[in-house]
Amino acid sequence: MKKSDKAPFAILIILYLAVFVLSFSIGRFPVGPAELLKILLSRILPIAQDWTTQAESVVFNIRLPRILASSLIGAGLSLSGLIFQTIFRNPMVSPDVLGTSTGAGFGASIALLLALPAVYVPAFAFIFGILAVLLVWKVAAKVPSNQVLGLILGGIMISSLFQSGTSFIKLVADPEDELPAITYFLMGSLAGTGMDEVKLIAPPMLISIIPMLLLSWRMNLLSLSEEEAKSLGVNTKAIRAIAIAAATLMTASTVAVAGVIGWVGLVIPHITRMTVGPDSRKTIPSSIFLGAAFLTVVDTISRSVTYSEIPIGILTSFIGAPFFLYLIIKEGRKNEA
Amino acid sequence: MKLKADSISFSYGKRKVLSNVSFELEESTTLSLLGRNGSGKTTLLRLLLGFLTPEEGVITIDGKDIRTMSDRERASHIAYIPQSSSMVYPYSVLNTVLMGRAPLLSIFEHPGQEDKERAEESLRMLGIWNLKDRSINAISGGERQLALIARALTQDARILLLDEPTSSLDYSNQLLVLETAEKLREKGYSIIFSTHNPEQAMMNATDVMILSSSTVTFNGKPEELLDGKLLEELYSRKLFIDRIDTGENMRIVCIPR
Repeated sequence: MKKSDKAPFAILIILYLAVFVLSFSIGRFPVGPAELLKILLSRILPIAQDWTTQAESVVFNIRLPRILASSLIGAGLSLSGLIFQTIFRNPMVSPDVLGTSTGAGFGASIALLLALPAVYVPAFAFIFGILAVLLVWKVAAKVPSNQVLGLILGGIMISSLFQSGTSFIKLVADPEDELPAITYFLMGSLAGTGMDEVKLIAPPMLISIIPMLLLSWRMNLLSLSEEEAKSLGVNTKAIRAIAIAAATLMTASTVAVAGVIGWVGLVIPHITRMTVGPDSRKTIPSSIFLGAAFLTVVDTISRSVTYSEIPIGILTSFIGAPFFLYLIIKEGRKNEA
Repeated sequence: MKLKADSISFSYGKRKVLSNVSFELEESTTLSLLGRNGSGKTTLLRLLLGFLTPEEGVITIDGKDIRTMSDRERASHIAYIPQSSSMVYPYSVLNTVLMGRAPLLSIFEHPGQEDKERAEESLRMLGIWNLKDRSINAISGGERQLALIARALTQDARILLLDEPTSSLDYSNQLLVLETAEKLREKGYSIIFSTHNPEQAMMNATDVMILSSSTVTFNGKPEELLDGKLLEELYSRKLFIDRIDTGENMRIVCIPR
């Protein structure tokens, strides 16, 4: 990369760091920047305490896990959207469009319905998430003349199938105990997120992000036709398999921790490409930081604008749905021209 | 580097597409492929690239059966230049050409400075260095075709297969691509291109091969087609074929009567 190429990436990192620090200060219990810095540094440097214990508790027990969780979830959803858009050679797909999120939500609901131990929630979310992607992929393969149509219609169909599965689970769930748990879980919210959730989500994120960074150049080659890639000696099957597993693992883990948070995986990859161009060597790391910054901002809004918290999934839809419309109209105009 | 097909046959289901096709491609030669729609030109290219496996017969590069080669090994000998089309994501011309380094790098490896230099060298060789930072979707069809040829050169392969390289290009771009192919042949590359234009096939190749009813009906020098019989038979049209002196060189013309 040339120096000038690195500038937009550096700006994204700075943007994320700024969001990270600001989100600590904002909330119903405001903590000033100076105070915040002292509290944070007190863990590594010997600084005399001149802040309240309450402030320290807010910073470490409430906001830190929340910000870490929103960063990891934002990064994961954004990167999985980018991966899906690259491997399906289609900028209109995302974990939601492909049914990954609803599949994962269905899997998680089963685990909750059966009152299985906590670790089964992400495991079931992953299995059904990947099942949804594979089904949609199969459907799209049956419509070779128009893969975009196949993917999007397949996604709608599979999503709706899993959605009705989830509704059925809600129907048979115990209304006292399991039903509220499932309903609240699927709404997409980071309320009540603690360090346990962060510990649950961090490993799958790292496991997925590292191979994707290593594969980032090869991901460019997936934009070529299958035959062109093969003529360049590229094992598209292996790369696709790794990429689908990584994207699904990330989506499923976010669903397991925070429920279904839509649209991030569609919107952020677009903004990333607009900022740093299409080269995956740049879009993969950039989408991670931009996704983390975006969801942290949205989560900060969701927990501080009204007295009772707005579930974050509602806010991301408010932003994402109009953006999707804008993309469709822009695409349509381009095809007309 | 010598490419050889030895009595290869192939069918899609029950439909025989190629039957007992044999030919050799020596270094520094250009073979043009002529044939009606559905005559098996594209199938033959796909067999040579290893996308399909012949039912009978064998394809070798310097005596080695291509079936025994990995995709990466085959890619280091033989490159595919598809019909120019736009890409979903608008990579820069340089990044597109750099993709030619894929067979030389392992799965997790990123191209380094040396790979970038090889890509830049190919761009210079084809005279499109000035386009390197442009989007691959924002240049003309002919320029894009040249970028795809540059990618093939970056691949370090010595045999280049072009599938109807001029089909979607305007006249000047057609000439540009064919003249580039001729220059590469002079540099020692071996080239096969398929075309629907008999004039191009005779004018821009050292050898012509005609596929008809799934077999090779002609494989020889362009001059041998001057009497017009084979081409008239192929296209079911009366043709006027002659060599004329343009004042600067001898050119073959082929027009309907």
